Amino acid sequence: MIFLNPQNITLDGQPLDRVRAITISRRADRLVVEHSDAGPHPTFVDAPEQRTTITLVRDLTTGDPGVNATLNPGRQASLAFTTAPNASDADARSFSATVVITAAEVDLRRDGSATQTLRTLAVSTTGASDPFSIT
Amino acid sequence: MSTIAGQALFNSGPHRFVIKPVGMLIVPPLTFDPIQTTTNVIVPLELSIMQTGRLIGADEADLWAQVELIRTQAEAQLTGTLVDNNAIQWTGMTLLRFAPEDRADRGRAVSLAYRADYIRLAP
Repeated sequence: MIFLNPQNITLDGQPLDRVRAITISRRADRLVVEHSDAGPHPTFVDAPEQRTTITLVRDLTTGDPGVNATLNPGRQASLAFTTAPNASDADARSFSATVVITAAEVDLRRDGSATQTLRTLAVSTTGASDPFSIT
Repeated sequence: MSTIAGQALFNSGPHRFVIKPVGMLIVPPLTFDPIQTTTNVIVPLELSIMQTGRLIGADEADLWAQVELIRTQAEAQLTGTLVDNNAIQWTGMTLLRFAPEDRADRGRAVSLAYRADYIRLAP
């Protein structure tokens, strides 16, 4: 899932500006694959342990200490943002998740601008509920 | 589909059977004492069959009800003909042990991997 030009991005209520895109990736941390005595193909597959990774890519301006100083791996925070099909609030949808930052990486480009990639792992409140909620 | 003594205890999920080593029970040299220079052949090994698989429950209660039934039957030493998924039969097998793996898995389904052991006990 990818969200281009998301709006109103906050981390623990603090605005996170100049975010170009947010991606949501899901994958199985552990797969259960069972075979029978009847043949070579699995007869049961399940993903009992999964992870939801949320990645934010944003532009950095020169010397932007603000929120950047707090974006350290291991920090847990509430991430929220909205998207809408156009510039109005019509059909806007809100997304939220509790995340733990796993990496905050900065790439410096030749023209002097920089891009920050913020990688996070979403945390479920119960283990059973989806860590990424859409309202 | 498999059964032990006519009971289908494990058919909620996939499972497999393998026969464990057969032949004679032997004692290698130097086991009993330093002057034991030859292999001692004791008795024929008991026929032992290992089953590995996964129980799948419709929900938590269903899964643990299956586990409880299997525990009861293992403690009662349920004995009879073991019929595997390919209709191969072993007579006089006793369900002696059911060992779940270290965790129940909760994904799309609630499931539990296990190992079960059957032995044809000497009369």
